[in-house]
Amino acid sequence: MRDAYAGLLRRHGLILGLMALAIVASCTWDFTTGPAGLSGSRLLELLLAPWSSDAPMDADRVIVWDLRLPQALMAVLVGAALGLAGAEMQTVLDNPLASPFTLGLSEAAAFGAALALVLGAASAWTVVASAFAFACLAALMLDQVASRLAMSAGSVVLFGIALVFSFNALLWLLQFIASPETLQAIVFWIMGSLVRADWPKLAGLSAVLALCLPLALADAWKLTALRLGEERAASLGIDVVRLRRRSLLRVALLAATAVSCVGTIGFIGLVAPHIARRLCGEDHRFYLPTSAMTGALVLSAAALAAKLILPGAALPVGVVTALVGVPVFMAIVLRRGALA
Amino acid sequence: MMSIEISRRHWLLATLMAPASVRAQSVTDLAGRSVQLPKRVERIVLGEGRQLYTLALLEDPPLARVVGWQGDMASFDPQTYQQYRARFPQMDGIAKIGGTSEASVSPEKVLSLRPDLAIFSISGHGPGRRNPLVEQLQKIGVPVLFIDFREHPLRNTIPSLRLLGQALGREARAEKFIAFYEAQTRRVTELTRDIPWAQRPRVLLDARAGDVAGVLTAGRGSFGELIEMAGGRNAGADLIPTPLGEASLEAVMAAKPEVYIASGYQHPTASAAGLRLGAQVSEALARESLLQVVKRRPEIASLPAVRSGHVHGVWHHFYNTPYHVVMLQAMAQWLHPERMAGVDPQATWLQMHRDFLGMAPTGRYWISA
Repeated sequence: MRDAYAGLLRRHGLILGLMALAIVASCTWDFTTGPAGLSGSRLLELLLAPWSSDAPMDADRVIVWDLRLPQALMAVLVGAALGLAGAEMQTVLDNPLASPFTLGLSEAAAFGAALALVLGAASAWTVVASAFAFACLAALMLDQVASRLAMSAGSVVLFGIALVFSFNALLWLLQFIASPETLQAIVFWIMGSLVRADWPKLAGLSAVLALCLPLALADAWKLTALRLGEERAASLGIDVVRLRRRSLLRVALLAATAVSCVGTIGFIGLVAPHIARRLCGEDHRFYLPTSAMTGALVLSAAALAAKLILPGAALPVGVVTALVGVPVFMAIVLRRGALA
Repeated sequence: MMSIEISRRHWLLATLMAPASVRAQSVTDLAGRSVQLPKRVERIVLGEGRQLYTLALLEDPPLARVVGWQGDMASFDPQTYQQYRARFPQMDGIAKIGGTSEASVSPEKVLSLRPDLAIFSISGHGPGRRNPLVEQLQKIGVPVLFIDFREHPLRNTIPSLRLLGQALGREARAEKFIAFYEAQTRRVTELTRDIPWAQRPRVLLDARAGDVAGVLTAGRGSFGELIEMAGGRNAGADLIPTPLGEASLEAVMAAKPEVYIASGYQHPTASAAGLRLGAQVSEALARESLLQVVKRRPEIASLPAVRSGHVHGVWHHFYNTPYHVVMLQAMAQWLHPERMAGVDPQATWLQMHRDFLGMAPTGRYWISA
């Protein structure tokens, strides 16, 4: 029995290790691919000399330090944030269709950004702050609905879908009254694309992940217990309402930050948890990090695929995520579908 | 609007060193940004391929210094693209920075071209003002100049032309075209300026008629400004708050427009529905497509404008180039034929091609049913 358990731990540890290797490989390949066709030695040279006093800067340096590197890392971090957020949500809402996007958090964030743009926000940070504020507002509403009205997990998801449609409608309204110049900015901001990645955003997202992942892992056994059902979890002494609130706030933070960084990329948060569950089951000590790493791998691979498919033009990563991710997802679900 | 500070020292250098493109000056572009124009421009990136229409007025050969552009010219106006390609085969060698939209523009491609000037539009299909590419270009010392013919042609056309003239070192040519543009505009506005509001016909602009669902029309700005200059009342101005946008079909019908003007850009052999106008489109083909566009939609066919036979069509890309001065004359003539008897848009069109574009136009660019 103990040997079997140790074997399981080893297997899960091995999966995490292999995924980490795959992420590093994908991220490196992503970094070395691009229309500028820089050689490996040139990339390495620029990578090892981050600081330069040239003014103006060399174009290759800007390509490496402002485009390639932040975008490759952003794909990994956003994927991880969405994978983790989706995993937690599917557990606390007890619903396999839950994802940060089902709850309307991303639409709320997109609306917040668009509103700031229409009102003539002066700086990029005002736009990000507004996006973040509206995502938190949506999360707060969900939390209040879930806890005050003591609604079931299914009803919370329904309320989330209602939020999606509401914020979507508001977004269309804004697009209707926006000048062409602003409209173009809104479309560009919302579109799921790594083009807006930069170092301050990477730092912000890293900080949010560094905060949320340990907190989620600290709740891991409670979340695992919650999978047995709300009553069983309550009988184990778990305050389900508070657990759900903590978890939803983490999700809001992760999703809002991700949307602020790259716009709406919808597929990762839904799919990564399913793949993670297939790989290592319901033990949340492994399920949560595996889902985060799956998200990171899928988005990084999608970013790479986008460059390989259309080398000249920038294919928005959101397009590829679905195109590449769906077949993989279907293969996994169908292969094991009978067991589910 | 523009602050031009020509450093005396560089000015002297410029006059001494002869080539037209040596100078250093700071200008304010149409996005309200202060731009330090480069002393020498050899490598230009265009945000949209269709900026060629304007560039060709100032540059000869028009694409000699362009190293990167989007594919919108080849997709949206293939006949004109082919015409230029026949004259300048090297055009195929210009790098594509994207397809036909801002989302498709690859910043890495743009940076790797190492341009020394980027020309973007404040709205449209290319990189916008908030695109991080603008800042990245500035980091490598590439000035980004924003121009506009699309959003507010009335106030932005001449400043945009003047900026391009300065940036490209083609001031004299730009001023020559501006003089032509102003003179041709004045021929219309002198005659329309004092037309009382009540005598101005209500005009509906049906942009990309038959090729988009619904009614895309001009509100405040874009085609709408030119309609009012031509002595009309833009019906769309009361319907939508933006320069271009979708209007309710019912509101369009309720507005009872007295003159209907469609815009379109389909090429002669296009499979898509819509108005055929532009290079190589014959008069018969253009008129037939205009009649089809109207006939296919009963709501449009029922408008007073259509029943009374006031149906016209204009080339859609007029909305993004100073060529629109010719459209202005054509529209003024449709709206006030008796006043505009002395204005000949076709002659203006031919003169513009002869004096500025160095080629003869082919095809119909405006048409009446």
